[in-house]
Amino acid sequence: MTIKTPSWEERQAISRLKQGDLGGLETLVSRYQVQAVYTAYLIVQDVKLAEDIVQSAFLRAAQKIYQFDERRSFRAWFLRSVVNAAIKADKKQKRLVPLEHHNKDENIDPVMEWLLDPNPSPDQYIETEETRQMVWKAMENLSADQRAAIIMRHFLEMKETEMSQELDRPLTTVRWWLRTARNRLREILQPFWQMDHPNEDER
Amino acid sequence: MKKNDTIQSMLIHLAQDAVLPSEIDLWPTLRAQLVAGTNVHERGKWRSIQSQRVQHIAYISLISVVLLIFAFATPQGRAFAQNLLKFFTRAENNTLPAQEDYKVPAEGPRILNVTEVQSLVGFDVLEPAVLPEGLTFQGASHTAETNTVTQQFGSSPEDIRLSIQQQPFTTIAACDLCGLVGASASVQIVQIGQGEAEYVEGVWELTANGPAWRDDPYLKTLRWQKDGMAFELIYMGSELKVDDLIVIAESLE
Repeated sequence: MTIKTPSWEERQAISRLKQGDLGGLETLVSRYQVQAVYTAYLIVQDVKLAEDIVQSAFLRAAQKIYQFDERRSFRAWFLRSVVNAAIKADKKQKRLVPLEHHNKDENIDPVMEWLLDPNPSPDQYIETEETRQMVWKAMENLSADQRAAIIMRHFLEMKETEMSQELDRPLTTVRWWLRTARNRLREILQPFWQMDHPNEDER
Repeated sequence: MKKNDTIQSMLIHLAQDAVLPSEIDLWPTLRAQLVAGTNVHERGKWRSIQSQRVQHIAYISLISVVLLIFAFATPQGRAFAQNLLKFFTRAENNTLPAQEDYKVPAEGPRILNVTEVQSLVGFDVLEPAVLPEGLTFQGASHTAETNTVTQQFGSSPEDIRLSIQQQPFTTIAACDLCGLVGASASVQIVQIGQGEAEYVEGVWELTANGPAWRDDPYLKTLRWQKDGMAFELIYMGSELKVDDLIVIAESLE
């Protein structure tokens, strides 16, 4: 899923697009559309909206391609635009429902603790349909910023410093998103929070 | 399989459950839009939301009042004190006698970074490791008279929303960050890490008859002590709640 190394084909595509050849855009769309739609979908949790966001992001990229410095990563430049647009779109939709209306499931809390703990650790969970659904349900309870932080970290495999750079947000803000995501889930899941959590520090 | 790989795999499968890669083909629509010269973005579909901060300017002045009162909570003010709280001192009622001489300790020049202010004080100045979006460091200052360091955060120097003060704690009488709250103020005991802290919403408002306490959720103050230091975190706004302020307080390092 992850595409990180710019290929010769990608460089050519960017160069063609800078010269006004839309065939270059077609190449970039073909290369990044799936990753971009998935990124947006995981933040806004709506396929149609995700596709709209990515289409707009490609059009913006085409319009601003002359600003793009080819020494940088197109992937990072483009996906940053997708993440930012998805956050804005989600906030506009005001999709978050009041806390008391959230689904509560006592099985979510250890899953979320594991998901949000940034420390690398051996696997505690085997991927099953059930654990996937618990992750999804828990993510529904997060804000767009917090979901975006998780997607960037785990789906796009970005480090905190990269997230800070690509989103043009201070490192303190990125850490804030990750930390408040954990705290928010803890609040939501408090009725079911009966386990001891002695190692709660993130770093 | 490592943890991150598992999470990534789950996220991919969650996305694939919604739409398969083979079903994603944006190019025909994009090409049509490019040919037509329109797109959803231009139609203003994603107009950004601008937050309203109507009350902000008014409350800037209240911060000044708070600072005055911290100075005012000198021996005369503290004569009213009850030792029911650890970090705030509760006044006997919600008004204080008017005084002609409010003496505010002279604040040193605002210094642009913590390293510089650190060089003026004999203790480690702690900085927050996490901050909500829109709050960035705007400057620090040192008040020599009370040996208090103030760090300010906001979107710009003209839009300060958060301040964190730190002072070595010796005695309650010498503590500049232990001033009065109104008799009716609701002081909430909260946990910051392993220690206790106190949280209050409200402000001393200057009136013709002297300062009067007013409960106000817009002005939030959190006080605590740790390792011989007194801390005070003041936030002006409605976006952050007490739990958010605790997150910031716990991240000081």
